[in-house]
Amino acid sequence: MKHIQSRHGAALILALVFSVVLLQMAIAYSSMTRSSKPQTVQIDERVKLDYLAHGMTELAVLKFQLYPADFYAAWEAAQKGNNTYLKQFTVSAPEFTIKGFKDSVSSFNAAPVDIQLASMAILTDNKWKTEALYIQAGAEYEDQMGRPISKEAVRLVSLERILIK
Amino acid sequence: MHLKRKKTGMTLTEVMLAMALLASAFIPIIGVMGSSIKATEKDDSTIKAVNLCQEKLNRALQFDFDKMPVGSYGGAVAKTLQTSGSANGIVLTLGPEAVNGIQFTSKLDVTDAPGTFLVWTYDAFAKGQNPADPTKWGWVEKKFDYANLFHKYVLTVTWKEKGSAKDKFYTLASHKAKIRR
Repeated sequence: MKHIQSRHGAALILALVFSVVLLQMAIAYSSMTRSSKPQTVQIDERVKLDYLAHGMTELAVLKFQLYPADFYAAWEAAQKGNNTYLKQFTVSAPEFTIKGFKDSVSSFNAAPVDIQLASMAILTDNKWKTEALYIQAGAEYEDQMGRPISKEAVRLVSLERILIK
Repeated sequence: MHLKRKKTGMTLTEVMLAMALLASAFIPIIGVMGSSIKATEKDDSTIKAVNLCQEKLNRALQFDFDKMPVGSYGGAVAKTLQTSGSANGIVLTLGPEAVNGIQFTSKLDVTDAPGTFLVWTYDAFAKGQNPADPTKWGWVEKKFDYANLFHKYVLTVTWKEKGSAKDKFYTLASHKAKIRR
């Protein structure tokens, strides 16, 4: 009789346990989807920052093409141990820093972006007697969680020095 | 014996209560699944917009600097731009277009991004006199404006999502300089 009595309400207990497990699964899934970054935001970050960083390399090439002699002199000074002038021509020049760029926004992400020239250097290859200008720029912004997200763009421009007589 | 067998089974009330309990546990799960499906649909249209925006900006940036003057292209009125010359020229279509049943509208704004270059110029004569000491090369800080040499490209794609009255938009921006390529 005791054994028979213990079976009363077994279905309810099983259903209760099962529904608690299901609810926990639902809560875990919901919190997972809430905390994970949507795929669209990840794609947006990669694309947006890449274009902006690449745009900055354009400005660096323009400056180099307009004032090559001053860049070469600054580069030579850096090779002699004084990189002040090279920094002033490149990474420290105010035109190579854009803070809070707001034109690359979307209905789901309106965070401003900082764009900065990271490096500008001459690469030489003695074997092939070639020279190239190496330009590196970066774009960075803070995502909705406050984490810094950055992307860098690198550009190589083949150089040819011509002596004008 | 008959009475005993009756007591070991589950009553209809028990089964009904258990089913009701299970059903109520499934409601939030179904809710979560439903919102996931909606989010996936939303993601799909956004990814299409990102791809469209990227493709059009890539094409726009391939045009020569002078072939894409300052102005607005596309939007409500369709606009097709093409590089002249070769048969394999770049074609850029802007304005309204349907992609997989979604109506997108693309617009390109090209604006001048003027600024000032800070250039430390050196004196070639002073450099020749003191080649080993760069501090004696007669460095002078000069400023040069670069108006009309650096443009900002902003490509915006707008669309409407199912069940939403508000327009969604996605914008990509980049810069292009007037450089020898």
